[in-house]
Amino acid sequence: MFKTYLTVPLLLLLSYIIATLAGAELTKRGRLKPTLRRLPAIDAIEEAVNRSTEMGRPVHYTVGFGGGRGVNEPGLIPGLGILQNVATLCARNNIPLIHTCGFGELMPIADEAIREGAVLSGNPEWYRPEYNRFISQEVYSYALGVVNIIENEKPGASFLIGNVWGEALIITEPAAAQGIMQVSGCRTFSAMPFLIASCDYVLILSEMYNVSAYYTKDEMLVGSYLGTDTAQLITVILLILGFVLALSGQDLFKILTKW
Amino acid sequence: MSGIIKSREIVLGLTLLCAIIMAVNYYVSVQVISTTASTIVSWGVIISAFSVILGAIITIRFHLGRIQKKRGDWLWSIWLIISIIVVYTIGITFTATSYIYQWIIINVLSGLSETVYSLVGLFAITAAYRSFRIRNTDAGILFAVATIVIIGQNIPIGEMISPVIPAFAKWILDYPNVAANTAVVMAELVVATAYSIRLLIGRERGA
Amino acid sequence: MVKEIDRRIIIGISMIIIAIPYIFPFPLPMKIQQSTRDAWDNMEIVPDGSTILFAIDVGLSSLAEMKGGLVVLGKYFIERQFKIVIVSFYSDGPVIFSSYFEPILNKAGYKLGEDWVNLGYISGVGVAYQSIATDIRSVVQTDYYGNQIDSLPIMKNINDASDFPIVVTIDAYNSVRDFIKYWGTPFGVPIVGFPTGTCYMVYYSDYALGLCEGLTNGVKGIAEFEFITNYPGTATAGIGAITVANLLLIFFVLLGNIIYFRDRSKKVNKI
Repeated sequence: MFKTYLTVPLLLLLSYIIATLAGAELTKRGRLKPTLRRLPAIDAIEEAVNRSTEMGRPVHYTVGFGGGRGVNEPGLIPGLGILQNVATLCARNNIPLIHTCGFGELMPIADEAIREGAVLSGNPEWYRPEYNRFISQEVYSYALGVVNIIENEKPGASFLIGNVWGEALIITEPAAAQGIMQVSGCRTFSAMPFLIASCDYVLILSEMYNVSAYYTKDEMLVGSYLGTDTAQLITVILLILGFVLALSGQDLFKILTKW
Repeated sequence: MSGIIKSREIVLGLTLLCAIIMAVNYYVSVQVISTTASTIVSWGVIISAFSVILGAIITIRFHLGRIQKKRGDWLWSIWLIISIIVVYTIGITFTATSYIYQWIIINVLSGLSETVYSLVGLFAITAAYRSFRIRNTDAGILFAVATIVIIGQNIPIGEMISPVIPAFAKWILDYPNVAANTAVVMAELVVATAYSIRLLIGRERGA
Repeated sequence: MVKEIDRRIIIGISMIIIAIPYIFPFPLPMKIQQSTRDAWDNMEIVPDGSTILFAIDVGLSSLAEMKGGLVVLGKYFIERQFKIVIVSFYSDGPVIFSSYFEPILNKAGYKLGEDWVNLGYISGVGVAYQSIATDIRSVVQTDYYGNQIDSLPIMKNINDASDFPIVVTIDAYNSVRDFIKYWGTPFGVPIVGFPTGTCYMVYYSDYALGLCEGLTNGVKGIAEFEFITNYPGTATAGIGAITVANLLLIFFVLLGNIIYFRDRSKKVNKI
């Protein structure tokens, strides 16, 4: 029935959830007043859109291809959230947005994100169906399609935030050669060095999840980050405990999973 | 009616229910729950399969529009439509396990994919040339360590120069690399868990 | 004096120099890395004739890098008389199997259903790994060619992950991590991975922590495996090019820095 070797991982997961919700609740009630530090990469999102506005060029956005796992990759969701943010900024500034997509099932979801972004900006008429473009369901065909759009449409800014694997450099290098401002973000270590080498700003790993909290300064969202830090502290305590036990020849992992 | 179906609360509720079933399935082995989880996954697979058709229709419509208006690289759009029709017909007529279909995949698609993939290596060299600047001590240390790991682990040159290089490279991979990697992965997973909670209770949205 | 170099020149020079080792091959010493040796050792302790799981999770674009791995693993499995259950969690897997792996099996006289079975592409990613691990038949009832798996002798005593003494995966898409999560940790099945070079660095921490029993480093690792098994192939031929490409990377980074610091000192002198 219950997989007993997963007791401690389950307890850890529950502690993370409780810490997150507790942090959010305490902040909402005013008991805690956390703040988020300045993140240049998130500031760069608005800066990139403003740059495109001044140049009169469109903005390009893609969530990447995700190693062929499509909508199963976790990095996709924050990528779509940031797409909505960028759509809001583009609608506010009344500049076109080109969203390139490598999965058919992503099209309606991205469409909804762009549409909602337009509504939130107070300019729902800005939305056009041609802002959302499907390229190809094969990774390098998709990458080359994106490069083709970047070279033909010459956007003022290009965003590659979400799931990025092997297609990272294929998309970002030609854009960098054209002097396009690029903001990217991914949660995979394999693509990270390529993005850092070729993009102007990179949202590294968990920074991608911070964007809506950073913009809205919503108490619940900011407070949940305090809870997240508490959860990370719990993990650190376990690490130190494991280290101390390892010095005495005991394996904390074996102890915990046999409980 | 469509307003009720599209209502945010119902969508969030269904998402939360599916998420709970998938999470519980990981921790317990109960037949009903694992069957339900497999069914949910198979729904996702069916939706993905239909999305391929959706993607093909969108692509064909877009490129037909380009051909009609003779806009951009419309001649390549003709080639694309011909390719789609040919490969689709071959796949339907001879099936995906047939020799001719697999010949197209291996000799045409694979060759083209490998060619583009090879660009990654070349672009890595140009990106490194353009952006890696040793402006401070940290960057210097990073470059030195990266060079040692490349020479010691990735290529056989390290052993030719000195046995110390591969040993040091292995030490770097075994200790600092593992420690940093594990720490970052754990931190990211905690943040992702919090993000998922906010998403499932409907508080996470764009600005 | 060298000015800032156009990237097209860098790409052109790199292409020519990387092609040279293919035209004029040169010998290089082969020292086997510990992770490759562990991969080999863990496969060696599996008894001859065992039924193993082989996951082909590479895409068409990674074939240039991983093709050698498919061939050498095929030859090694045949030498050890392993019965092979092949599965793919990535859509290109079945086509790659048919084109590169199946001919090796057919040449050795391996029979479908008795010595090998191809379960085809299983979609669903994480849950697919978990479902196959707990009960293969809950996900797969027929093989890739439409045969009922219950009618195949090879699948007679194979029901879940615990029936396999080892899992070998040739991987470009996070397959090693998923096997560790859903097969290694819950069922204690040894996992041996043959990932691409970029993925090796990502999974190395899993190997160092003992979650994965063996790992090879892209083309170099496959070349080492070819050396250990005495089946030289395309990976061994590619070692020269890999070496030259890595050295070029270091060279161009140094050159870029030399040009940068030279220009900076010129500007400082002008001021």
